[in-house]
Amino acid sequence: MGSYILRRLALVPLLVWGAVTVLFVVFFVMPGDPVQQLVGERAVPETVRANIEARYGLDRPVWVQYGRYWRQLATGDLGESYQNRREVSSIVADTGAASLRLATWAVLIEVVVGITTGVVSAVRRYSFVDALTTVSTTMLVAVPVFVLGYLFQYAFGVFTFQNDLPEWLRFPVQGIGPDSWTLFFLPTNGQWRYLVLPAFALASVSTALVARMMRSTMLEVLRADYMRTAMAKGLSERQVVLRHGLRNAMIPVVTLIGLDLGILIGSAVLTETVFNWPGMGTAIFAAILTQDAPVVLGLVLVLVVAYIFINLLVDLSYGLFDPRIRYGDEGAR
Amino acid sequence: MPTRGDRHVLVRLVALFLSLAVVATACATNGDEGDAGPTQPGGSGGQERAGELVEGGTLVDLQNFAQGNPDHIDPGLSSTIQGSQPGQLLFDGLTETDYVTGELEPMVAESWESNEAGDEWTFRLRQGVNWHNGEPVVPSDFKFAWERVANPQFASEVAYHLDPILGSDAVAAGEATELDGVVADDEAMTLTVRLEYPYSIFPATVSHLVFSPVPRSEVEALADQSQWERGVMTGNGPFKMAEPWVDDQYIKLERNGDYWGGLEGHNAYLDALEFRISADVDSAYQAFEAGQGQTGYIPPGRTEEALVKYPQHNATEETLGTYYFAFNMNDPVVGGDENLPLRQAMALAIDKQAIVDTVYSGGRQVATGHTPPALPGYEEGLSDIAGAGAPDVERARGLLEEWGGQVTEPIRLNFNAGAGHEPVVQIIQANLEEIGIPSTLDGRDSTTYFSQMRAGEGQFFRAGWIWDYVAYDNGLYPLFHSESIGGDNLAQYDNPEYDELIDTARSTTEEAEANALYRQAETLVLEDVAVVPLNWYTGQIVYDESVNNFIQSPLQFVAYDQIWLEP
Repeated sequence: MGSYILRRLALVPLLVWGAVTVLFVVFFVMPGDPVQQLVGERAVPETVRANIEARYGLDRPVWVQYGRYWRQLATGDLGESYQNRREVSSIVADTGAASLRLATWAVLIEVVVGITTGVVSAVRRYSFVDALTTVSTTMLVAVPVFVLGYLFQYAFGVFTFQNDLPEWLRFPVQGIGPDSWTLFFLPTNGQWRYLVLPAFALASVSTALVARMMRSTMLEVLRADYMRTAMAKGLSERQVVLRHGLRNAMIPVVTLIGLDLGILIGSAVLTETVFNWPGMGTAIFAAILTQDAPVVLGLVLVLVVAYIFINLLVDLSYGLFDPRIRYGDEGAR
Repeated sequence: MPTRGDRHVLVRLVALFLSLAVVATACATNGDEGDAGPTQPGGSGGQERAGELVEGGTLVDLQNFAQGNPDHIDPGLSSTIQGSQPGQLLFDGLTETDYVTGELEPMVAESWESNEAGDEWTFRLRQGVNWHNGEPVVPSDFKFAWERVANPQFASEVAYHLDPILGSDAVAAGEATELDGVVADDEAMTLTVRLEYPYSIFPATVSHLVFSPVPRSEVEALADQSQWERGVMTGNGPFKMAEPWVDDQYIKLERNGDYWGGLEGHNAYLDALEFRISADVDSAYQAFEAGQGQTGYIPPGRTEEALVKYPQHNATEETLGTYYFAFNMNDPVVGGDENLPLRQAMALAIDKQAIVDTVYSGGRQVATGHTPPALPGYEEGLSDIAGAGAPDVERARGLLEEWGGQVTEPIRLNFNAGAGHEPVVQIIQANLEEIGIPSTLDGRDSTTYFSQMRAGEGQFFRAGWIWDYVAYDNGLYPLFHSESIGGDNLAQYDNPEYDELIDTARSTTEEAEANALYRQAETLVLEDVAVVPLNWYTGQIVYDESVNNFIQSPLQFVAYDQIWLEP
């Protein structure tokens, strides 16, 4: 198992090299001018351009800039944003933390709500609950996240305010609020009021998908021989479903959830934008629009590394659910 | 400066879907329209209501940063209106334009005078203006600030504003650290500035935020000057920073209790002012509708609905900004004297009112000239062709006959794609077709559009201009002087007669006289139909009934220090 992990980790430098190189090429092939982005529609006077280009080394050939970036990276320096001159490492730290918190809560919602709904509707197949699940998940998958987010804002912000509904029904529709957390993930000081709407909006589509996948894999498992055996042994339905069924049905669902965590961290642009949650998705999006290469590079690098780790964890977790799966040397025996 | 609506292609798409969602929800809640809405004061259109002035309170602003985090708020770096708004409240410059009358008023400088030629200006500074830390503001703080901006290491994108000052190019090139032309006498409290050329509007120029003073003792110690804005900047204005700017979230200011008084002679009425930063205009507006702030920015396409709901707004007040189409005067088909009748015909074919009504839901004003009425020195009716308020198809057809040529290739209507200009260009295309001129839409990538237009690749193209300071010159020299070709003279307009009028105006220190020359120059451009002004920008701000004495300057800055809140 140890060597399996090592082999996977050996991929990290290769992927990082690939990402940096591809992005460098993209930025230089793409038409545009990062200096122009700083002054909007106006002309950039020559001296202004020269001074800005000198500050960021943009006046040097691509390969020189490429080499310089690697030397910087080797010392742990991600450079400075062209657009607002912030240290990229501090942008990564701030937006990364915000993204990770939101994504984690979204995944928690996904796990709890999605798996429960899926299991219940599989076990109570064709019941009213099952029908309701099918209809509502179909609808959720079809509604774009930002429309849902906007509806949440309207329902729990605008509507409750304009109709003078009690204070506890009025949620802040924008921003991260006090940004106050303990143990990294737990909201404190009224932070949860800022978290609820974006977390549910972000979780919506994935929750629906998890519920549907859980239902179908569970249905398959329920028909398996070992389930009948377990029943025959005299176990209660509850025990059979939870101990034997759920565990076996989990593998595809875990894959889905694991991949989703990665996606939710880096690509929650729409939810982040609608709720003004200062995460990585919006930061990357804005940086691409303004051709702010150091920011895009820094954020993407961190995401690449994060994806690799999440994938590794997902793969390792299979072993927990299915004892037949073993990694590395043991598996070869 | 970039206009407000030109960013975020995807967000725009999102906005479209969102508006659909609004329609859906609006239908659902239509029933309780009458009794709902604690945000609806009685009557309509009332900007001012009689009431006792109340000091104190915190204003949460949802309009200024409705479109995202500013790049910079350092007065020496900020290139956008939004990013400069906090600086306007934190820093007092030498002069200031009165937000209501548009006249130039003394600020930290109590008076100024120039030599005969208009290339040397002496400002006499007021006693008793202090930094937020209690130190007095002295002339050398201005000199230091300007040298900081011109310094090549600082690499400021707005350093070009200092170009008229003698010695600014040497500092920018790194050959000197001090501005040769600036002499600061802290004893006598005078600041003397020698310029590269006669420049009658220099006192108006220094009202721009980039000329703000900077507290030398605090800033000098910084290793990287651009990091000043990351902390609490010490200023000399009616507000001070309460804490450092939190990216993507807020900028918090509080009243400066020791303010010298400014133009109106009093401290700010508000205790505190919180600028919320939003990633998306629509959701910022949603927050305003949810009562989570007192001022909001009307998102594109929602003007009509917003004005009905919130009688307090500035959407009909025009600002110093012009949205125009211009001809590439070097183009063989549309440029040159011989093609003047064609340009005239095209100008007369365009239905400016239709554009204002359908694209901006009536929120802008039809432009009858290049310079907007908000500018002192403005006069109506400089041209009846480029400045025509309504189309005249008959006359246009007559001019085409006079021209006698044939448009064989469709004329290219160039614009930056994905920034909301498509419907405008479509209307123009239809208008031109009506007089038999074929045209084609040439939407280009917005990241390279303006450099292409600058290089003369356009034919009949869209652009916009927002004034930096209240001076006639600021809309004419950069846009149409031959020296500005390759810069913002996108039309490649090169007319020696025009250049001479502008140069003379620049050395005429008598304001009325100078403005008469500028008007003559503008008339020339309009008669040559190098430009067809389409509309003048108006405000886009709504505010709730607690906000009193809301004033926006023609440069689109809000006088937050004059606002008071009804509890």
